[in-house]
Amino acid sequence: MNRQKIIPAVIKQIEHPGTYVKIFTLLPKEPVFFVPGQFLMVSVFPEGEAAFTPCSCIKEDGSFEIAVNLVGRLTSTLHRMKTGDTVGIRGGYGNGFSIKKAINSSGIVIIAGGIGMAPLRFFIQELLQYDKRPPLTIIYSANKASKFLFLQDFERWQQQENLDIFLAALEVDTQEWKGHIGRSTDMIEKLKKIDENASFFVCGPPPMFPHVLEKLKQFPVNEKNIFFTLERNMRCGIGKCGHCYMGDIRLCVDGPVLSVSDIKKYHLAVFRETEPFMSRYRK
Amino acid sequence: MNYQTDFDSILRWIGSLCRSYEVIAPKKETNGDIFYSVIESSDEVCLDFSGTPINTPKDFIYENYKTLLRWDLAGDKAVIEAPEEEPKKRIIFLRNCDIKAIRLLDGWFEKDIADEDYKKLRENLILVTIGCHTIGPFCFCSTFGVDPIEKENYTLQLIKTETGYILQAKDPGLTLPQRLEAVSYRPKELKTEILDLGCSNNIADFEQNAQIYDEITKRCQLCDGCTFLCPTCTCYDIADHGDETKGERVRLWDSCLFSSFTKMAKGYDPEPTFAHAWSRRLSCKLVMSDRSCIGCGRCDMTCPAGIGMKSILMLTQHKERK
Repeated sequence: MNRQKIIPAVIKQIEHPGTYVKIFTLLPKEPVFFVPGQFLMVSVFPEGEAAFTPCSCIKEDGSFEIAVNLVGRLTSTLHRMKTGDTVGIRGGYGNGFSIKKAINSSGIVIIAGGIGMAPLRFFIQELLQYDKRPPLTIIYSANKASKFLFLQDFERWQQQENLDIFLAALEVDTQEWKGHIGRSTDMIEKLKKIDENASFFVCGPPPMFPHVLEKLKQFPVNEKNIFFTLERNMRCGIGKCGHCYMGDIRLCVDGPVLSVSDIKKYHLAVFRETEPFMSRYRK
Repeated sequence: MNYQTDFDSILRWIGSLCRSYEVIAPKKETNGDIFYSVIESSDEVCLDFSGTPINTPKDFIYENYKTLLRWDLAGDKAVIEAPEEEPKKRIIFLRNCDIKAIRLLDGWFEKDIADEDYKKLRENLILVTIGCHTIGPFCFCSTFGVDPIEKENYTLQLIKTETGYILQAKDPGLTLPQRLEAVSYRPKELKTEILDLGCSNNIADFEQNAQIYDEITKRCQLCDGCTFLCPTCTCYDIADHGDETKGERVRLWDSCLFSSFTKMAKGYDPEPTFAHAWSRRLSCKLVMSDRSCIGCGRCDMTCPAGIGMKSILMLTQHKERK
């Protein structure tokens, strides 16, 4: 299978759960293959290509979902598209979440912030396929209660055994909010029975990372078992174009999922308080 | 085997090669500048020059503005396809430093997920080394272990001598020039200036080297001559030309120094300052395990502010000695 070939995919369905997020169900004309945490390059003609992570497993008819946050030029064009329109996809690229590592650990903790739930939802779907899995804890936070995605999934997952869910909104702007009020770091404090074989999977906005890591260090955790999903501007997805460099690594082939011990090994500037804005010109 | 020959028979030989191959060789423009060009008639070839030609062999194996795909989504058919081109059989006559550059490109495009188009182009390309007989004003290839006259790793090498030309051949798979005379030949020891790379081990750290970075960022005009003329710079950008239904996607050379290189949606930039960008460039060229500077000196030749790799290495050396 040629993973560099662009496959036309038809938009089958568009859901609009949040103000800035749309969930597109894509039906590719040829089969694609990816694992949770890997990304696809989605072509929106004529705006170019951008990396998106699938937020569902591949369904029986071959379709899958991507969640798209409205942030820039390409995503605004994508948001204007209608059912039946065609985009191009290629991939999946990069290293995803290690299901084997999660299943063999003593407990799985998933920490998602905002749109970061998207790749982790696919991961949770995969984990729930296993009969014998370690206890699973899901911590999902967002700054507003109205920004939560996939709430109907959480209602279904709540029925499962060995599964705890903590939803935390910083600001409650809906009537029917049933979760906690606070940040994801407040929820981490509520975790129980964490030993050094527990595995952690974090995806969210980069300013969340240093706080999460600091809180996790209260537990006897192993840095090899904490995984962060990092992000960069990606153009080629195959490690050739150079855009996604971080230190000496290229995130599209060596990432985007990296353990804390790898992040430290490569001296990557990940745990920064704020994500810097562009100020490069002549400075 | 080493053979003695003369310029006329080399030209006749290149002329005969032109019939079955596309020949790329140094050519003198009317203003005296040397460029690698596709040769139409053999008298255009120029082998008597010092240093490197102005452009690089990547013009031919990794071209700028290459069409990656075309889309036609009108109606129900939705065609997205890459233009298929049968690569031509080509011979390129080039300097030893440029051959080292091509070997580095080979490694880059073949690692991880290989670039199929590059592989095809490369399989149909024969490299002929033009050994240097004099050293150019910007050359410093010996710093990186490149010899101006290749000793071992060649299939065909041409070297200008006082009396004519020496042709060294090792199983070239090509017909050779007609008038050849087997001779014993030992190339003269030719070395360029050798700079101390040890001084630049921590050059990527812009906080420790604040003085050097101040100098660089003050001078750099962001013209990107150095990246476009670097035979080992491979960063590219992808752009779409067209509309929703029909158009093409092209690959353009990009530079890590451009202000939008790492910019993300919403204006975030993980490498926010100019010093970050330069640190990346210097690390890639001089420090990383597969460091890619080969010492051809083209960045020094083109830089309007005098901060090519050689100047920067000299700057670090100077600072170290002070």
